[in-house]
Amino acid sequence: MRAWRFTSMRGYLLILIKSGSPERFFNICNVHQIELWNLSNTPEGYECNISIRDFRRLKPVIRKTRTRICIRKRYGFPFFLHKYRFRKAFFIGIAAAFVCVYLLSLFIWDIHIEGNYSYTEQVLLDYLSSEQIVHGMRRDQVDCDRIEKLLRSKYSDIIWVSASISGTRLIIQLEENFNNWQEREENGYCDIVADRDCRITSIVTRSGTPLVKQGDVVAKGDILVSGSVEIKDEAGGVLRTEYTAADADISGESILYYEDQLPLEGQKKIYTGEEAYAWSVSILGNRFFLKAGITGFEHFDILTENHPLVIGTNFYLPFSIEKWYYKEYCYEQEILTEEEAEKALKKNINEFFENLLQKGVQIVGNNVKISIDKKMGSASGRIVVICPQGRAVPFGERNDTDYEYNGNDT
Amino acid sequence: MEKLSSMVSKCMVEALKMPKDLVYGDVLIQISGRHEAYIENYKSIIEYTDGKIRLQTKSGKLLITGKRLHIEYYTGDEMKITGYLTDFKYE
Repeated sequence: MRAWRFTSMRGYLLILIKSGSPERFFNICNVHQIELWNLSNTPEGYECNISIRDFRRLKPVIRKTRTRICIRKRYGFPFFLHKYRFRKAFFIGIAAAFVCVYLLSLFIWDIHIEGNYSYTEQVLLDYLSSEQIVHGMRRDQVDCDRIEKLLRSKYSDIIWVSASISGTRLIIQLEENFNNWQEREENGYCDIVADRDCRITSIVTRSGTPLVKQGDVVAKGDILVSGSVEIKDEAGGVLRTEYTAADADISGESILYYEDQLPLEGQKKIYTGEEAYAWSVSILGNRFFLKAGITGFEHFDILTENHPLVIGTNFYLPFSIEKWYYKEYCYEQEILTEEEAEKALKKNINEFFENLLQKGVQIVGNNVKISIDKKMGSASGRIVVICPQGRAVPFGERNDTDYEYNGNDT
Repeated sequence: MEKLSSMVSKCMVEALKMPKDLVYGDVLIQISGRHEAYIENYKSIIEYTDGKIRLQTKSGKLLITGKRLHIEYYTGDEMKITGYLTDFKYE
């Protein structure tokens, strides 16, 4: 990259060259690595640009080639500073802006949460704010390890949390447990108990004593794998009992009852196409409306677009501009035909099945029936599913009245 | 002797498929339409006026004619010329 491409910052000059032999001047400049650019021939002489640094090195070349140089214009930051050198308030303003940016960089202005599925961002932020982790707190007071521990201890189904600071953002990444698997405490002894009434279809025990076998029918709360392991002697007598965290892969067949109703007559939400909008500015958490969105709409939805002010990628400032959209809608009386009602009910059933499949549930039987009368369409029936079973319950939380050994109930 | 060495170098360039501009120091001219030209491997500027640029190259003098000729930049071996280009001629 040539030096002259960066000269706006370092400053450069437009000069006029008058010489009997300008080509000699250009060639000698070239030999001395004095860079000239935008060279043009004008009636007065040759005009070109030269950097300040090279202009200072030009003297011997001028003397050697008996050239006259006139400075036509000055460009770049050094000349800008020189021009405004008496405007003290301007420079104080620039310095104050830098100080402000530095001071703002000492605080957390954005708490960004990723990977949350069942817990909304607001729920997590509310919890964090109850622990004094809030927007606007000082960066050096953020203890990432503490945040990780707090979230994991508060929400048992959050199985992994990572908190990090990037610029003025506190980024919290987390992973939730979707497989109905509970994290066992370290060195914590636990049993695995049934989630719901079911018939066991497979059981693979890794640790603990299995109390049920394939084909057994169990009720909700029954112990499936016990965390206590009996050590027996040759005669079959119990020498001692050891405790462990029971661990097993269990799946069971159970029945789900599906019921859905859809009235044939109802109100339908229809957007009229009328829209209004308002602007607001949020400064340090306080919202000021610039243009009120007085709509006069009877029913309307509100959509908000939030544009936080960011320097670079991660330097979030405590200012944001918000645009509020108001979309008017009205209700219209709607009467569904039998075909439309059946179609809607089938769509709901299919969505329900898809949700089950996404959770790893296998559907083995389905007798959901759709019936439609004059006022109501309904879908109901039983669905036989095979799904992962069992949740870990620590010994300390065991309520003996809840558990019954159900091994004979085959 | 000189003829022999030039023949040997020519054969080597052919055999090794080396770029000729590197071996012979030939001037490279890249012309974009009528308004822009890049010239590489020139040695010095002999003459520069509004309608004419004469350059010294290893293989002779190169005359570029046109109107409102403007040298955007030039370095030790490279130059960019803009303007209305009409002619490129070896002298």
